[in-house]
Amino acid sequence: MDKRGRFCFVQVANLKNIKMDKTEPSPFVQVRERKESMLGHVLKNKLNVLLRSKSLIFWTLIFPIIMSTFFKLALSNIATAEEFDPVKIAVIQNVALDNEQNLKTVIGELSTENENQVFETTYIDNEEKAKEMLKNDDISGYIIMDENGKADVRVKDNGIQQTIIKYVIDEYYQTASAATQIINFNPQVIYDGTIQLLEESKEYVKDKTGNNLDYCVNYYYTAIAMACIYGGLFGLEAVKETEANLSKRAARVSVAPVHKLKMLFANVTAGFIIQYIEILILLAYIVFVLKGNLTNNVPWILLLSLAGSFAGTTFGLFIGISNKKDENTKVGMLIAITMVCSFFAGMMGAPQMKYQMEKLIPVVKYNPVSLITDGFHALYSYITLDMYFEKLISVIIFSIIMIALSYIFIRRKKYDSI
Amino acid sequence: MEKIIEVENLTKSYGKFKALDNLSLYVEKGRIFGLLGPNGSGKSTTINCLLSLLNYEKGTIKLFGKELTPESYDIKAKIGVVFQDVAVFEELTVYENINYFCGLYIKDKATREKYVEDAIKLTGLEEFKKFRPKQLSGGLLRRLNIACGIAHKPELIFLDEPTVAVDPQSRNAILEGIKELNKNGATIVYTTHYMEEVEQLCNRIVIIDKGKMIAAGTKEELKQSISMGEKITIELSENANVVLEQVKKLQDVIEAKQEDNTLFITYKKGEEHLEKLINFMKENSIKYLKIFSELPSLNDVFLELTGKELRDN
Amino acid sequence: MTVFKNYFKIVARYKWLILLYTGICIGISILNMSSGGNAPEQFMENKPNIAIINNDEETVLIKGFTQYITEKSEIVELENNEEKIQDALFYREVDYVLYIPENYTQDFINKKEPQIEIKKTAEGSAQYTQMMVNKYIKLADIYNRAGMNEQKIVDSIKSDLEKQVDIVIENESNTKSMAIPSLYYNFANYSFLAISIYIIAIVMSVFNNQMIKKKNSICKMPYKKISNQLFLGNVILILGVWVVYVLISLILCKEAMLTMNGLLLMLNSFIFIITAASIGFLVSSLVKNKDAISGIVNVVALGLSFISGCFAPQQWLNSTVLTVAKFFPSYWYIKANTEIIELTSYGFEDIKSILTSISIIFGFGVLYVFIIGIINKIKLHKK
Repeated sequence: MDKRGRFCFVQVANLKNIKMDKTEPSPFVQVRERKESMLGHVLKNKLNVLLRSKSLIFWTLIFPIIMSTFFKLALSNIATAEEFDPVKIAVIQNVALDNEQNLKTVIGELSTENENQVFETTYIDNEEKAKEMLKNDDISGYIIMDENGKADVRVKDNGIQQTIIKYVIDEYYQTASAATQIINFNPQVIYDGTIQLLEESKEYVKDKTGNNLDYCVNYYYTAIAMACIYGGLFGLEAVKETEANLSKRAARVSVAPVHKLKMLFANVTAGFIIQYIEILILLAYIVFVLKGNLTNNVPWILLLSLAGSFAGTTFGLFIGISNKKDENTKVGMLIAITMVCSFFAGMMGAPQMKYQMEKLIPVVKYNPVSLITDGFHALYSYITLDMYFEKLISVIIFSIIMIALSYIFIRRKKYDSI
Repeated sequence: MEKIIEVENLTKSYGKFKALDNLSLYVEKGRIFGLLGPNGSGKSTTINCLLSLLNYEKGTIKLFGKELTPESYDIKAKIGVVFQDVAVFEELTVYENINYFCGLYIKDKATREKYVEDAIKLTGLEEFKKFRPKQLSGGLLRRLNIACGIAHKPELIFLDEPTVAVDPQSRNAILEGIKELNKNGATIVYTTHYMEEVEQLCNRIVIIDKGKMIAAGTKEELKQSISMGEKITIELSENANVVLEQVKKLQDVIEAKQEDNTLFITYKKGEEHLEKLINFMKENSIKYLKIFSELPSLNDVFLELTGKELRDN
Repeated sequence: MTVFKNYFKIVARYKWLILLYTGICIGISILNMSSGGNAPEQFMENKPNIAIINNDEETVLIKGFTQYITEKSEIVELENNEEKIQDALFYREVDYVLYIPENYTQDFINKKEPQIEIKKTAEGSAQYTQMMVNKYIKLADIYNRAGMNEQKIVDSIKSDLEKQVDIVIENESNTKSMAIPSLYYNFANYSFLAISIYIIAIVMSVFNNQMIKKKNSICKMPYKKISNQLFLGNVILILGVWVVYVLISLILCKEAMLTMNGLLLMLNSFIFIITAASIGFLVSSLVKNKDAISGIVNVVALGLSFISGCFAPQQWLNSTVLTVAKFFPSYWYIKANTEIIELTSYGFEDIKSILTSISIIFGFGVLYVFIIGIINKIKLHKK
């Protein structure tokens, strides 16, 4: 009796290759035939192997997690970076300035240490010292009143700090001008409170934008997309099993009565499954540990991640099948191409760069990492799902192209040397 | 006798280097066929060409009377291969490995389970079923490699140098296992550069060197084919140099060599060489401690045919 | 010297891969450059892209407002099609979209307080645009309440807004002209690290595999000697990459690079790439696992680049993160680059802090070599 308590006819039969007649049930057989499909057998096996390949799983999983953590750490400041540090300026203390009491007061108010502090002001009497401070970057700019009562702002750079200085001073003069004009036109305004409006800040626009992307979340999207394409490593693993010059096991497979395509299909599927599970883990990490708000549309995110994982696995399949180089080179190609794609998806650099690149060379937005990233982004910022579906379908088309190209290469391969 | 393998004029080059040069051979069903040759002579290349893994320029190869193509699943199902390199999954246990590879041939689970157990028993791996390849010694690893290749009870088995770098115990186990497989009806093609194994196992042998067939036949035929008939080794107690010269002049002596006080004398074919030598010693009052005679080995065959030794080439 | 020769034989075998990597990194660097400078130092230079969808008539007020906006931005013509507008925002063809509703002017004058709907991107320029829009309408609102008519409103606002203070740029820093090489050399942080680690890792792993097979012949050489020759090989390989990198920058930005700033950039990158080589060597000594290599390349190269301000400028980064970054050479490399760009005078005082940063980078290199030495000693002990 074997383990399962069935009486195996086989044990009784002669070991010398007597073919069991499977169509005729023998009287003493209770054997229920448990045939296993080849696909299922290979698939189960490869899944087993992959799950036990600790280092492969670990490194493909850990890398996107670390990257996402880096993003969070590095960029969590951005939202609060709106609270600028006060701009360091110097004001030349001269007679002309004293004549403009209002301006002096305004600057003084803006320099008081409170939460609305705009300037950190140093009052100096001579211009030379101010020039020195400017040169040494101790200040972003200095203000000097000329004899005509006009203010000059001297700066070195042309950036945000300087823009703020200009804005404030402009605002002062413009408001003063407006006040003068309005009082001249209708002195009543002083009494009926209209003039007060000059001091208020009112919003005259209604923001209809809907969701605007949190800076950091965009990088998460690129991280997820990159991780998807990195799944190409699993595609490469699948090819290893069938290409005799990549692994010795594949030589065994070549002499076995198994169709190569079936082998590939089973191995690729196993890789794809593992890859998708890893992406799910990554998503969970970003949402629950890093508290990134990816979207409210959970099913669509899962769907796009599925398509993305598939794109990555088939991409690896293509790289593995399309040439006869050794494993190191193939992995290198995968990494290099993923890197380029991630660049075009906006991972390396300020987001503006991505858009400028796309305007320069429109075709780059069709690389798989960009497609996936944009798909996530569309989910977030669009009200309808049109753009999302456009990206999703593009990703699927990419996968189909990869499969088609791989098929062309799969034609019986014999080698000149193993 | 039915010819299970027929090769004619097989030629294969790696670039400018000719690995196989018009090689022809055949293997009969039910036999253990040995492909013997030094390192780099083209043994593995031959096997790989036979299995349709390598391209070749010229020649015909027939297995089971048909040409082997990648789609010949019916033929492939009857073949088992044990490659020179160990080809198993590091992540799976011994049992799982054998089960996987057997599963590429045997779909029925019950049959497969049985076969796997048989393979484990045949290769003596019962105690190691749950071990991973990393935990196995070189010899055990080779046994696993073999088990994976033969578990599905193929009719034709190729073994490409299965005992390289294997401890003697494992080697014996492997050789016994191969004999067992043959007894159960499998035809075996065995390549190696160890002549002792060929001597032990093979019915028919082909010796190759530099891609060319040097000799073919059974052990006896091969040994008969060379001029050497016998080799006598005699260990003298003294004065070997002097005796050497005398011995060289004896009848039927092809060659005589000396190492310290021992003489190695090679004789042509003939009768009673040993007796005659003993008489000669007696007549000349030459004292000796040991004397024995042996028939030529395959190494001698090879040596005579090519002028080289089989091993350490 | 056999080890050395052997090393370069392996390099020759992988030459295509090495070229591919170098080519890609340089290619990306060049693309990076052509996208123009987006450093915070150039905020003023970049006019936002704005679209105005006017559903009201072409009233005087609207005309005045539109003219004002046009002066301050690049106007983009967009169809009043929601989908197209959404796409334009998505692809950043436009940063800010204004929807002026029907009858806006009438409602406005009648003090019904109508609101202009807008859509904007998350970019800073969009935020700035909003401030400008509000400014105009506020003035218009006040003038309106004071009783002015449309034309008067528009004229008065115009005269107000003419009152702008002059910005005088003194001793303009080289920021503008050096912007492009700065992008190139900043990105080099990522390129150098990625190339160093990955290529050295591959060549070393192949070398180690060969070593295992040829155990006997090489074992005669003392381990330290082998290690030294390998290190030398690595450094030379990486220096080759450096030369290519610098040459390309010289070709593309000749004027900018043939200045003192340019020379300092080259010096900085030279020291950095040697340190990167030692990092690569260190990683390959520590990590033997092939699967790990690809992960580590990116974690180290991308990660370090990110937290050091290679992609997002240092100003934008969290201060804790920056503190951590200070423990790695990349931070100092970027810092030195940033200072080099702004350099206008070249006295010792001026370049002192740059030299300090460079020395720190070098110090890291020495540290890593030292660690490699210790690892070798430990390995030796194990044998």
